[in-house]
Amino acid sequence: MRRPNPKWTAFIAALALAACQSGGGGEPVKPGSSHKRPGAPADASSVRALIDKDGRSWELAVQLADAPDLATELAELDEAEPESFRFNSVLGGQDGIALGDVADGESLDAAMARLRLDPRVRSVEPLVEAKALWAPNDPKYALQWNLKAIGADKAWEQSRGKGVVVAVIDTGVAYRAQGEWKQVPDLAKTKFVPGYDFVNDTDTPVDDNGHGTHVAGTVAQSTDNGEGVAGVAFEAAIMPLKVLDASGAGNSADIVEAIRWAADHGANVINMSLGGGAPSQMMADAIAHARKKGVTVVAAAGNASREVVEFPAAYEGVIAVSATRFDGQLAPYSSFGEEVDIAAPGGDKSVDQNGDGQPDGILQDTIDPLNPGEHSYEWFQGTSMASPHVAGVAALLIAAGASTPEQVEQALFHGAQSHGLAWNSRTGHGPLDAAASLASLKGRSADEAPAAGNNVPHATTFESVIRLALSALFLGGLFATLRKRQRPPVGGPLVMAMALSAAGLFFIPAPESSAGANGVLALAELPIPDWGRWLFGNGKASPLFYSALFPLLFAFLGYRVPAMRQFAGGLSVGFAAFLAHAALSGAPGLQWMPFTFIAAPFLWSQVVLCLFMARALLMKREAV
Amino acid sequence: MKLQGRVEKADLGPGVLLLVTDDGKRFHLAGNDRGWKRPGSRMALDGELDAGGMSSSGFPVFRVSAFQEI
Repeated sequence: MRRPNPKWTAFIAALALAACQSGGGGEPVKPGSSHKRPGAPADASSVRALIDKDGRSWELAVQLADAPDLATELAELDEAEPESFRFNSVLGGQDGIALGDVADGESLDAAMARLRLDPRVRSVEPLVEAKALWAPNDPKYALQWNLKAIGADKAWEQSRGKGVVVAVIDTGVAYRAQGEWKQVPDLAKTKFVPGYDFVNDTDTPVDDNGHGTHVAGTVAQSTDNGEGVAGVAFEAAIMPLKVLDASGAGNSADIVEAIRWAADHGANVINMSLGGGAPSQMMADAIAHARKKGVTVVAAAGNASREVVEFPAAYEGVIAVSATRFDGQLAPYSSFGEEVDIAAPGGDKSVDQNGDGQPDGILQDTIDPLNPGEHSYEWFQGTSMASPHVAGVAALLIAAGASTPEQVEQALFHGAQSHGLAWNSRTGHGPLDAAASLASLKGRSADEAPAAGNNVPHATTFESVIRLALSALFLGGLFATLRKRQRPPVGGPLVMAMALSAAGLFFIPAPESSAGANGVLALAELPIPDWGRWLFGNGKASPLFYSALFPLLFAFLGYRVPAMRQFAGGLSVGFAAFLAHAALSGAPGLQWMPFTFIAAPFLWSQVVLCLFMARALLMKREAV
Repeated sequence: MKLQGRVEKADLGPGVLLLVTDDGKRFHLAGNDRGWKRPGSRMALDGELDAGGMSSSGFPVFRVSAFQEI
């Protein structure tokens, strides 16, 4: 997607960037970049006591320290400590792995803490229940290196895309029999919702090319059905929309209509494995319409192996996907560029890096247009194949609770960032990781929901500090424009209002619910401009609050009272800092605004307004 | 508009063919005539570049109206 770059704001941007750098880092804050979490210890729920055949319960795993005779060492340990010990297996005398129970009346943690001090113990851990990852029974699943590469098997433990609708805007899908075309068997158990054929103007969008069926298979191939291959989000439903003809070509008008159709008929995700041609305002508008309706839009970057991302992937509001091969490198054909958001497996048929005796393409069930009525499992390659991996993971995230395209994107990008790469034009935020994205979503919703039912994204401490630093910078700048005798004293009302509006009481832990006093706490914890997100209950940024309106109201109310005027002045400075930071860190999509590209200019205009207002409010009148 | 080059598969299904011109440009071929749909052959194609076209390969769409194998 395109990133806004308003040149006319250069002066204020330079000022603010200077503040960012003084705050500890000049790197722009990418969505979700500050949400990295350290690896968590074993989940308490996964700790299980082992009950042996004699009915004895064992809770601890112990690695003995090296000793000439491990059996004697274990006997000594058993004697010295209140726990009982035995070797885990007949190999225990060689590897020193033993099991221990926990003495009556002692907690697991206390027992482990004491045992760690025993010189005979090298390490001790709770016994964790090991569980094999679920694997589908599709016979060709073993050839799908791409699904393992994105951590699909781990992700399926949490989400399989149930209840989510993915629109596949493509050559149609072999989802039913129609004339000479038959349904492919490995889509027989996949759910479909009604779609449309914009090429032939019928409501039976069957495939006469093979591309769309392959793409739909990557998203939601019938899985664990004892047939063929698996798909990423196999419990999601596919909405087939045909815009490309038998030769795989189509026109922008049909695609525009299909995007709007999908958004208006309940799609949660749109996949567009297509591209080329000139930019179209109609298509940009259709995508903005889909985003506004809460649809996550994903598209292929292109296959021209050049630094130009094709439309529609290059539009604002679209997740642009480049293609990688088995070794994680960018596939040689993949286009790349500044609009690339994430990379996913697209394959490279010219190599067999995994040594399975097959080309490293992407394998799905599709029709054979040269033999209508036949189907085959085909290896395709392209960013066309990469894009539906991302659409599938978006479906997994939505089924797991992501409720806005912004949340889906944050989880996708944060998951990709877990691979440790800085954003780059080849793989964007990094390689798609379904399991890490779900973990990111889960972590965020557990840590950041201030009130049940409200999805208000919380600023990190780093972001709050930057906003406070910006406030101080703006205040200093305003003072510099005043003569010494015009400068107001920096008092409590000013500082308090500035801090509340720029950062809120961000250091207070979020309350569990929004009932009663907790509601006030949840609100005070947020910077004032984010109150709109909480009050309107949908988590979206409101242009009423992301503006100079709130400080303006206060200025009218308290203009005659000096303390109130100070407070309103502080609010204005704080709002200016908050809005400048919002604009600099990627300008959020504002509610009720049809065009996301006006968000940044709008925010900057409000920053200027707030600063003028602050100067007028804070200037000491009697000194003039 | 006339183009000359080699017809190639795009690895995106048997129905998807590209023309790789002698100067290395790629075009997504469209059109109903099956005569030019022969991967590996060199063709002189007559047709139009579809300005509003999009394709499964992501390359510009060239709609073939006449062809000659060379």
